Amino acid sequence: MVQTAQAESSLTQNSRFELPLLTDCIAQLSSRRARILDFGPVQTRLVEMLQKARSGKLHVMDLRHDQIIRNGWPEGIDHEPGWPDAGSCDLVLSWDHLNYMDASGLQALNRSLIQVADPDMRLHALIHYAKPDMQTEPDRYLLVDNGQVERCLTTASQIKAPRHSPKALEKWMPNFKVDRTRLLGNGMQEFLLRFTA
Amino acid sequence: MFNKRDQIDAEKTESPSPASSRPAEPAPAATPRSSGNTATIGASVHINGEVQGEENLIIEGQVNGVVKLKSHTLTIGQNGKVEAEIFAHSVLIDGVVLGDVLASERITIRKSARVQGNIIAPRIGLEDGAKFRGSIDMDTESERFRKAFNQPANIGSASAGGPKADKAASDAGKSSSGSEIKAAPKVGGAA
Repeated sequence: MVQTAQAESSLTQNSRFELPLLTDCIAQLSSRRARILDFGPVQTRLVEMLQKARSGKLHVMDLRHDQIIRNGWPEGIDHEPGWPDAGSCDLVLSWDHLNYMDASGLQALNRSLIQVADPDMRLHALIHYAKPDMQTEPDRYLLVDNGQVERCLTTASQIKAPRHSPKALEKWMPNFKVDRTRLLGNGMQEFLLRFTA
Repeated sequence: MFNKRDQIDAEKTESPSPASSRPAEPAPAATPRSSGNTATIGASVHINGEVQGEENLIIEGQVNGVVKLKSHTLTIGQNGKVEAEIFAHSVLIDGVVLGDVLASERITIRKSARVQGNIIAPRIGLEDGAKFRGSIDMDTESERFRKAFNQPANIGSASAGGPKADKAASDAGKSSSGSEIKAAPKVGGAA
């Protein structure tokens, strides 16, 4: 009951929450030069994290909502500034985009990521799960202090959420296997998917 | 997109940008205005080509091409728009940059900045609110970075005339303050 109320509240106001799977993943990457592809806007804390490690490379795509809605997955994204070279990506951050893709969009994403994947690449995603609805546009998620993420709402209007299951993700993204999942206090499901060649 | 031509077109636009809150810069010539050890390209100045210098430079106007300040600081002001490959010791961005930025020391992207391109520097600072698309790389061992800053002989290869031609052009175009714009007949429109 309390968790449901928390989940409802989180859909209507900005909130902060922890991402345990991401924290583990980043800790593993810290021992080597991390190469991260972020589909969201540029994040100051992520840059600072790489700065502390004095290494690493961050690719920022800052995908717009209309790019996904109109095309499922942006055609020609591999020619845009920031798109990684072949085989040069260790971690992909896709914190709300998968919720706005249908089967064909997820398949296209899978094809795009095959080109840039390191054999050990992981895909970190957030999926709306506990509630049937989500915002009509992807929210913005930003790393903040203490390993937390702040969710900044972009709109109050809502649509039905696809609530992708692990099996559905693996079906439409056949080059990925669900490594770990975790239901968060705000009703979202945290996914860590592993690339399989 | 950013070709290596050495033809320069430095032209003064009809009027300053309406977005500019600064008064129009008195820029009758292509040579940057210099104050102390810092030169300024004013808001009404539009340069196509290659800008090199041995002093700090502030760009409040528009530059298309290449900017090389290997030992000094480049500041792109809030009114500045640079569509160029940039090589500098340090780069501070308040305005718009479309192109790759390489700095041997530090790149700072302020919250008012809008940057699209690939940036490489050992230290990179980014303020919340800045708009960025591209890659951020802190690997100073990369071939591109080493070519840009550790092998000076290769740096001048962007000019078709080679090092001697560069030197001659440099001597002809250098201002008393050390900034340099190599002038040549205009061969095409603005990029």
